[in-house]
Amino acid sequence: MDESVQKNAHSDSLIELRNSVRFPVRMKVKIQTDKGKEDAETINVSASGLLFTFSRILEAGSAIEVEMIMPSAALGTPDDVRVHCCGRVIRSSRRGPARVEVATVIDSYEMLS
Amino acid sequence: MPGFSADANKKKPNSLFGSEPIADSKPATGPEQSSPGVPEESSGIRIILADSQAIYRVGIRKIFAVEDDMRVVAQAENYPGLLAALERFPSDIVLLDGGMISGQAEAIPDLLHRAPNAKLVVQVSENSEGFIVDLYRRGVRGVISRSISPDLLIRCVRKIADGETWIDNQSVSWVIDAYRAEASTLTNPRLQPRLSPKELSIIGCVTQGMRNKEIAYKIGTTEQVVKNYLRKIYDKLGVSDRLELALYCLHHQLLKQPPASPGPGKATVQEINIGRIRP
Repeated sequence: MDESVQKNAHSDSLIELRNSVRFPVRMKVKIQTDKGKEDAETINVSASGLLFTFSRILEAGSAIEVEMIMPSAALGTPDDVRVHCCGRVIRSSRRGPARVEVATVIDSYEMLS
Repeated sequence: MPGFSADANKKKPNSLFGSEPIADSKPATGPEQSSPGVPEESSGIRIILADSQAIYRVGIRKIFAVEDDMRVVAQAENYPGLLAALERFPSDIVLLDGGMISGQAEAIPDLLHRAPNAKLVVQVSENSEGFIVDLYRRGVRGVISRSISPDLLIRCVRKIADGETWIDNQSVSWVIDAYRAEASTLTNPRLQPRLSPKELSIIGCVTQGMRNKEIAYKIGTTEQVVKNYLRKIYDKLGVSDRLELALYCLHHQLLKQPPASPGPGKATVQEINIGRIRP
C-alpha cells in the first residue's frame, strides 16, 4: 500500500506523508504496460515511486513495469546499472498535446548487475 | 505503587458534594451521574499528569478540576511511574514534564508505543530549538511552557484532545526549518557526509546490484559486517534502501572519479540532465 498519502482519521482530508526523498533525476526509462513496451523520461524518482513523461494517459490503478538504466558515466560504476521495478499508476495528467505526466508507485524492485 | 498515584483511589467521603472535585479513573456510577439524558460513561478528557515536582502536579490538577470535561486519572512523579500509570489507566492526554525525559531520545516513541491512543503534551522550562523540534518529530502533539497560563493550558488540552496539534509560531518556524534542512541535506550535492574508502567501496558494490554475500566475498569480510556498514551508510546519507542509495549516488555523483576527458560515446552529466528541472 502506498504510504505517501494517508487519510487523516479526524479531518478525513488527504495529507501527504511521503517517506522517500524525490530526486530530480532525468533519465530514459522503458515502461511496460499491457499495450507493450514504450520509452519515457523521468521527472523525478524516489525509492517508492516515480514521475515520468509519457505519450498517453495511463489508467490509474493499472500495473506497469519500469526499467531504469542508471548510466555508468553519471553513477561512477564500471557498467550501467539496470533497475527493474514493478508498480502501479497513481494518476496521469495531460500537460500538452503529446505530453502526459504519469505518477506511479513502486511496489517492488530488483537491481540487476 | 511507587512513582504514580491513581486519583481514583483518593475519593473522599464527601467529595461528591464538597468543593474538591472528583478525579476518577472509572465511570461514575452514582445517582447524580445516571440521571436521564446523562450518559453513564463519562466522555471527559482523561489526563495523566507526569511531573517530578509535586507542586506542579497539585497546581495543574486544580486547574483541570474546575473543568467539567476533564479528569485527571493518574499522576506520576517519575518515568517508571508514568509507564505503570499508562498501563493501568486508559488516557487521552499525557501532560509530561520535559525534564522527566531529558536525555532519553526513545522515551516519546516508547510512550506512544505503549499508549498509542494517548496524545502527549510536553511542558518545557526553556525554548530549546533542537529539543522542541525533536519532540515534534518523535510524535508529541504539543509543547508548552511551564509558565503557561491556566486558560491557555485548558485550551491546549481541548484542542489536542480534538486531534489537533498545538504549536506556537516560533516552533512552526523551527520545525519547517528542520524539514527544509533535512530535505536539502539529501538533495544538495554540497552537503555530503564524509564516507570512508571502505564505505564508498561497499556503496559501489550495492549500486552494481551485488548482494550482501557477494559484497562480503569481494571485500573479504562477513555478511554481517557488510550489513553493519550498510546501516551506517544509510544513516549517514539519510537513505532507507538500496534503490534510494543508488538514486542518491546518481544525483550526487558520489562514486564519480575526478573528471577526465570523456571518451567517445560516453554520456556526460549534461547530456543526461541529472538533477535538473527543465523549465
